[in-house]
Amino acid sequence: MKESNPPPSFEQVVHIIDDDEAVLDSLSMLLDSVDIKNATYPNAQSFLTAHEGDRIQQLSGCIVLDIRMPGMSGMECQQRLDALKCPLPIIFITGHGDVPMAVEAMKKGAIEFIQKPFREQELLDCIHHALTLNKTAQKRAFQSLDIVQRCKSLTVREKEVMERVVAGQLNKNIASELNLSQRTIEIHRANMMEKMRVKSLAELMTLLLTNE
Amino acid sequence: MFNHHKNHPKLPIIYLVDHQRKALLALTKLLTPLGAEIESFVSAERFLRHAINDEAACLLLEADLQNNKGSGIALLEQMAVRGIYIPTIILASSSDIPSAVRAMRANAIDFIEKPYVEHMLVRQVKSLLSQTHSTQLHTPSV
Repeated sequence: MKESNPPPSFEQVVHIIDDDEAVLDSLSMLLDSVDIKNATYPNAQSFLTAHEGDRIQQLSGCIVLDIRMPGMSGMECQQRLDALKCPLPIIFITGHGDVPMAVEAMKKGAIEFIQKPFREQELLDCIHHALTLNKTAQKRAFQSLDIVQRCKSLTVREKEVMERVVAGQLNKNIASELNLSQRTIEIHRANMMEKMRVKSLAELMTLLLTNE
Repeated sequence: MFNHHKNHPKLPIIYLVDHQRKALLALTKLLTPLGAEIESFVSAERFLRHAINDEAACLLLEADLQNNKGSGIALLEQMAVRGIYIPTIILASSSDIPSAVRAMRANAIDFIEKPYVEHMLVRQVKSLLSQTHSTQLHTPSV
């Protein structure tokens, strides 16, 4: 039997991007005080450089992003991250936002847009929410990848048997349809169940349905 | 005069919710040329009591945050809870960033501050109509 892949470690980091050093320091201290791992960047470019290439897709956590910064703005950074398929939820913070700007950021998938000055608890709540969203999305992505891998490990015959089992066919019907003996179908079926790592038909159905 | 065409027996519906009749009339006048059916409601409660139809194309929802404490946005949140999804544009008489963010989180597709730019709103509604109904409606130029 194949070993299952260990789930990747989801060490979440809050990435804070702001050109105001005082903001970076105070947010970093705030997060340290509640034991949330964090990293600070003085501008959007330094975040992009630090996680160049595919590594950006492997990140776990969330981003706290200032809207107005010299060089690349927060909104531009959001666009770049989107193009790079960065999975981190974005929380915008701004001192000079307006409604159209907030609407635009939300349309592009930001999960929160907070105005400075904000209460620390308000930001912490947002960050907790963002980290939960990120964890759920990662788990789902990992599960579906895992199920796809299990399906790939099946032989052609086992796959044929699985399709028919899931469609509710009995072993003897499958046997006559595939021109095999019932005993052979039983063996394929048992192997298929083992490779899919399920113990019952109900479990198999649940597994396949969650991956729909 | 409706229902004469076999290909689209039913017209898509644009729902309007605004507590001011004057605003409803103005929107109706603006959107009538799009050729959809228009149904108006003076309150969120009345709209919610109305059975939502399959032909629902979009909802223009007024959110007067000063006088109505954001009941428009509350309606949107209720719809989300009940699993009703109609593409919704919020028209806000008064607005602030937290309300805009709240509306967008409640699945609004846009949040527009009043006074709205008429031709922009018409264009947006038109594109929503074409998304729900691939069949071409008679749409005179507006």
